[in-house]
Amino acid sequence: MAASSTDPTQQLNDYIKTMHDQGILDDNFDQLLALRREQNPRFINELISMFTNDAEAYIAEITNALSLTEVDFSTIISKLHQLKGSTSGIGGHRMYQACCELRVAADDGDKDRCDELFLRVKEEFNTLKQCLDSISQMRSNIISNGTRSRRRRPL
Amino acid sequence: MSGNGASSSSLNMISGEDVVNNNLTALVVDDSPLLRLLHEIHLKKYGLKVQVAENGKVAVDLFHLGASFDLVLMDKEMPVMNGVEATKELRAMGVTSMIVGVTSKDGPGEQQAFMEAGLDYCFEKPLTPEIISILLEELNKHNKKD
Repeated sequence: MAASSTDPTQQLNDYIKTMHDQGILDDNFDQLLALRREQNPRFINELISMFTNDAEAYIAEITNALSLTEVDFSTIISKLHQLKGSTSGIGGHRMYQACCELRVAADDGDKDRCDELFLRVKEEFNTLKQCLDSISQMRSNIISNGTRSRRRRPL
Repeated sequence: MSGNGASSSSLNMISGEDVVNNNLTALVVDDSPLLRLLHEIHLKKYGLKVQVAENGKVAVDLFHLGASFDLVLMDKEMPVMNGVEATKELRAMGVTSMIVGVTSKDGPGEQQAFMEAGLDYCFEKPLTPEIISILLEELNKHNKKD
């Protein structure tokens, strides 16, 4: 019997597929999903939370470095490297691409180009964050419903 | 990606589902907490005992203190001591562990410099379970020969 469109798990799978189709997520995110069976049920949500917190911190540091009278390209490159690494780990494809483009501008010491490309990095981060938050919420609902239905089983 | 003196075709593309080792150790060297965690989890899935280090200096210091690892996953760009410097230092110390470089999508010239520091293999991050199982297959073969 095929799963209906109201099936939460199917809805989650369809959503993730859409994110893939739009280039927001890539195969690295699927690798994380494959890990979840060996970990606690909330592992993915914790990982998403870790990524979001780290990314926000790196973005804040890059913002600060770019705002200086004498732009601190060394800090930008360093924090961007960490942001790229975390982004590739979570599977944020478009954001990763945006980070790569910013890296080129930072290597060239081109402040104007950095400003322009950093804006795109932040936009892609917001898009990715919304996507991951939606996935987290959908997974939390699935986990909660799963717990409740187990409790209802007769002894 | 090439290995040290070995092409990628020399890595056997065998499914790693049967590669479960309970006596291999690994060191994950990466300044990204998320990537350290991911690689650690992937390796533990195969039964390895895993330690982590947040930069090359911490990794080198571990070896100086007498630690040894069968496998080292080494990030390239890290603060304090990067992966190239750390790999050179470890090889100069006589470390014979399998050292696998893990990099962003850098140009071929940069990966070549990393390989020449003494890596056995170099791959883009994050490592996939398939690549990890292939590496463990190679590690097992290498250990059987000793």
